[in-house]
Amino acid sequence: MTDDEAPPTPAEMLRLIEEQQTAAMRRFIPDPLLMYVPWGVAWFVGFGTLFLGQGLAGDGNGLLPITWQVGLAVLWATQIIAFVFMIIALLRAGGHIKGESEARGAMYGLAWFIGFNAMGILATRFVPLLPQDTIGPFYTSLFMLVAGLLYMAGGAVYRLWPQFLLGVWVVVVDVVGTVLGGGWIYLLLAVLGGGGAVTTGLWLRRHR
Amino acid sequence: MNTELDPVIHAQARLKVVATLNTLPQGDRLAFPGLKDLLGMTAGNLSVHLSKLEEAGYVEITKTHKGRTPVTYVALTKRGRAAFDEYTKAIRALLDTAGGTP
Repeated sequence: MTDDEAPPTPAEMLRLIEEQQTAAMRRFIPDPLLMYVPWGVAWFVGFGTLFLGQGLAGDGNGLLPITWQVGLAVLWATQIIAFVFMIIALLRAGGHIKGESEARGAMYGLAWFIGFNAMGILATRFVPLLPQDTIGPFYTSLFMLVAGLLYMAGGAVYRLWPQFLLGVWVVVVDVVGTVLGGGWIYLLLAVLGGGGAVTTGLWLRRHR
Repeated sequence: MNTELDPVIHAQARLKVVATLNTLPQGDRLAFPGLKDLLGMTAGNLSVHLSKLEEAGYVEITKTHKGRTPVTYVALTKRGRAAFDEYTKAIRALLDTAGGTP
């Protein structure tokens, strides 16, 4: 059976095309559950821990006796886990594909890498001039600004509105949290930032 | 209206191949094993269909090496994309005109 008969109806052929294309898209587009939800959870847990330690005033007298070092460690650990999930999703989706989207993905990935490193170096240069209790929010606000902007850029590159909107949302939450001052930035990023990323992942998964 | 269906694509297996490759952006190639898994075909069967599509100029097959193992990549050509577009249009037109008849 190498050259199968043409199937009976155009309707069946159309259905065949649609089914095959849906299956292909599911394979080629990284699983949104792995791409977004782990980041949302990481922000919820990580920024949530920082908030519990720092409190609304951001002075270290929060609900629980957690130092900022512990909070930061939790944030990084959960983000590393999220990063691993994301890489798994990317490898699964792109493992068999060569060509232009590889170059696009590499450039986009490099933008994140360069963005965060540059931000880290720049921020570290100015941190010694800042009062102690603003250092955490300072790093956090810049870090999430870079993340939000790159989500927007990614939305543009992959023409994915939900990703773009997540970027806008993260930047808005970041700005509002920073303007409110103290530990608000941690609280808002945990609940609204993390919630936004989880919602984006679930929505994209449902509508793929 | 005379809607002749392209005989190269008007066969389930080859239609599935073309529909799959058409989901990739222009300029991307798909490795043979990836295509095979996605279609649930045997390697032999898929090869036969691919060479028919290649003869028609609808797909481009490139063979390279990953270390020592040979890897084959498949991509839809511009002509293949156009043919698939034409085919889906023709099918839709048939469905519209047929509307109602068994």
